[in-house]
Amino acid sequence: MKLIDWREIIAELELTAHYHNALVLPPVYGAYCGDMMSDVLARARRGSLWITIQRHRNVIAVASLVGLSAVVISGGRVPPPDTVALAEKEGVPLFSTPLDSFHAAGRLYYLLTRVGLINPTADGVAKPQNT
Amino acid sequence: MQLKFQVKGMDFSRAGQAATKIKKALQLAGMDPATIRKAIIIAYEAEMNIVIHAYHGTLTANITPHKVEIIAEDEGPGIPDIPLAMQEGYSTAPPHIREMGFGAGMGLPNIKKSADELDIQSEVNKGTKLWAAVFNN
Ligand SMILES: Nc1ncnc2c1ncn2[C@@H]1O[C@H](COP(=O)(O)OP(=O)(O)OP(=O)(O)O)[C@@H](O)[C@H]1O
Ligand SMILES: [Mg+2]
Repeated sequence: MKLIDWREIIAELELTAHYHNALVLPPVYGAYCGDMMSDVLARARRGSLWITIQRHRNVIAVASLVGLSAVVISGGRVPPPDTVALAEKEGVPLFSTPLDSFHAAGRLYYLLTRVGLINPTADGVAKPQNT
Repeated sequence: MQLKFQVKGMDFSRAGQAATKIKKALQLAGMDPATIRKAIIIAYEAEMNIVIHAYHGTLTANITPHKVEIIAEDEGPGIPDIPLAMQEGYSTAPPHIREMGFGAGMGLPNIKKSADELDIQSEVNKGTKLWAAVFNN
């Protein structure tokens, strides 16, 4: 299976990294947008990148519980130090972008479609995830 | 194996920690990923319901090779109408909690979908006890 190069994700989504220690960035197999914790916990898939406007510590707890690849805080919002510290501790890659959630997701959707990780005609119907 | 955690109402700084520790224990125990996902949804939602809606309580996980039990017990306002609280979208969370991304009214429905067995007992002005089991296939 082909994967997207993280350098391309960082450039296309205009990401700023919020981790200090060297981190091996996990592969991104998909993405989820959501600002309600219960929704993301139930429906996001493991290995997805999460785009959200939330920036408090619980975002990291949810990302780590689901096994998400990374968190992107959208709309020019910057995570506070306690969120950054928890992300570092849990090993969750944390980024922010000036783009709003729609534009960040749109650009990532294009990248994911290009490498065949999204099938535009079959995907997109949200359902509870089992793993 | 039993894991037991104290959970404090409105303590968002530690919220989610108990569920995170339970997840790590389930992974170490080599449980099936589907079992882990269901158990952590229950653990996290039950933990957050204590943080958001109750005064304080405990979250317990009993882990055996065939089954994970999650028990959340709290002292708090209790749930006056459990069938109503179980409805998707029903929430009494105040606006500042909703701004943080809680209060979608999805926690209890998600617990119900994830649990193979579920029992909720509640007494108004006293507290709530939630017991859930997930079988490991
Ligand atoms: N432990 C509890 N003590 C008192 N009331 C509770 C408790 N758990 C749930 N409730 C009541 O049941 C309602 C529905 O709970 P549920 O978990 O489904 O949604 P929520 O917590 O409001 O939002 P979400 O879980 O999506 O963040 C709550 O808004 C609250 O009124
Ligand atoms: Mg809840």
